[in-house]
Amino acid sequence: MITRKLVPYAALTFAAATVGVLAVVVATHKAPASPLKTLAVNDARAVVDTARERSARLDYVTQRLGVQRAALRRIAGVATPSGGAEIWVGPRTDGTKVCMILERPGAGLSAGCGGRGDPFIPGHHMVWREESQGGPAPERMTLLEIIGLARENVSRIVIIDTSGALTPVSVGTEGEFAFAAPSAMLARGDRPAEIVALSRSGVEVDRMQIVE
Amino acid sequence: MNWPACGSREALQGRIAPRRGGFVHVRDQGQVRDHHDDRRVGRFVVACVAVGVIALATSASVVAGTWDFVQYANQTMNPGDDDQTAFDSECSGRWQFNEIWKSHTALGTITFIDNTSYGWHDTSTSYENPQIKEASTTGYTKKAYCKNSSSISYNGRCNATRYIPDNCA
Repeated sequence: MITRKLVPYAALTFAAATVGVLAVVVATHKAPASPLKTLAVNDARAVVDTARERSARLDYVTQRLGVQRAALRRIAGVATPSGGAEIWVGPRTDGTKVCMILERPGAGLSAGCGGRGDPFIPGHHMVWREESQGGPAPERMTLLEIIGLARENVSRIVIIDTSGALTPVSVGTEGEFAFAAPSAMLARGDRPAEIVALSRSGVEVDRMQIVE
Repeated sequence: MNWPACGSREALQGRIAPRRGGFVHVRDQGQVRDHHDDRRVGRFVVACVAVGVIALATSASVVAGTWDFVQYANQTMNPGDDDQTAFDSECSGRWQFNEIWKSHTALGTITFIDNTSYGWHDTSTSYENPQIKEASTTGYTKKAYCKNSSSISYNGRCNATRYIPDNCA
């Protein structure tokens, strides 16, 4: 009996509440944010990154690369002053390439593809991605990082900047490495120019230009 | 017969009156017929729920939008050559993903450029092919930009994706 009594009131409440929600949505509606992420418009660096949005963004990137989401494998995490990154690797479904995805907290995803059987750039012993904020001139950059993976035969990375200065970078157990340009380097107008891969015995096994 | 609007004072207090044993419709003549009342209350509930569902569906359509995939470059890019989209706006849709596909393994750069300082944001440079970069925030006016930052020529295809909101005020 009590349930029967409450049914019309519940229906009225439901209708009133939904109409109210509609009114609020219409009144406050300007432009909806992308369903992939919720953005704080007033804070250019802030990203509210829910698990569902993260998943949708990752889905989009893997679709564009032609990589099956389920085939993605986390390789390692690297620490950087900006919060570090998780390194994921996965093959394309057509088998033509292996791709690397960098996932950084509070920042956008980035992705790219390397060789047929591994993520390394064909003919090279490493794969890396330089990511920056600000610029294009180094003096205007607020952040410049290089994150990558190296083959097993590489035990050390050296970054050579445009002034000729060398910065050694350690390589992790999974081949991961990360370099963050010191603010002093950027302030004087310099930036990384070359990446050199060294073997355990210190022999140079690879050298790639960053600025050509 | 005239039923009150959902949520109206009349609905709550006048024509539908609670009584012991359930809700009944109070007729002008004061007659009460329980066996028809259940059916009428049921119709009333269905009507109210329908209003709610329609309201929810309408609000869902207000916040809907569409993805727009744009190829903004597909040409031979000599060293230093670049290309770009137009600046975005809230209603045109904010650029969110930027990508470059190259015909050779060589350096490429993709970034987003704002319309105030023309500074670069979320720049990615690599030999990888393709390269994709997502904007870490879309809450500012910007354009997607790609550049052949290598020392060789290649055919470069650059794409950008944005989310266009419906019913943008």
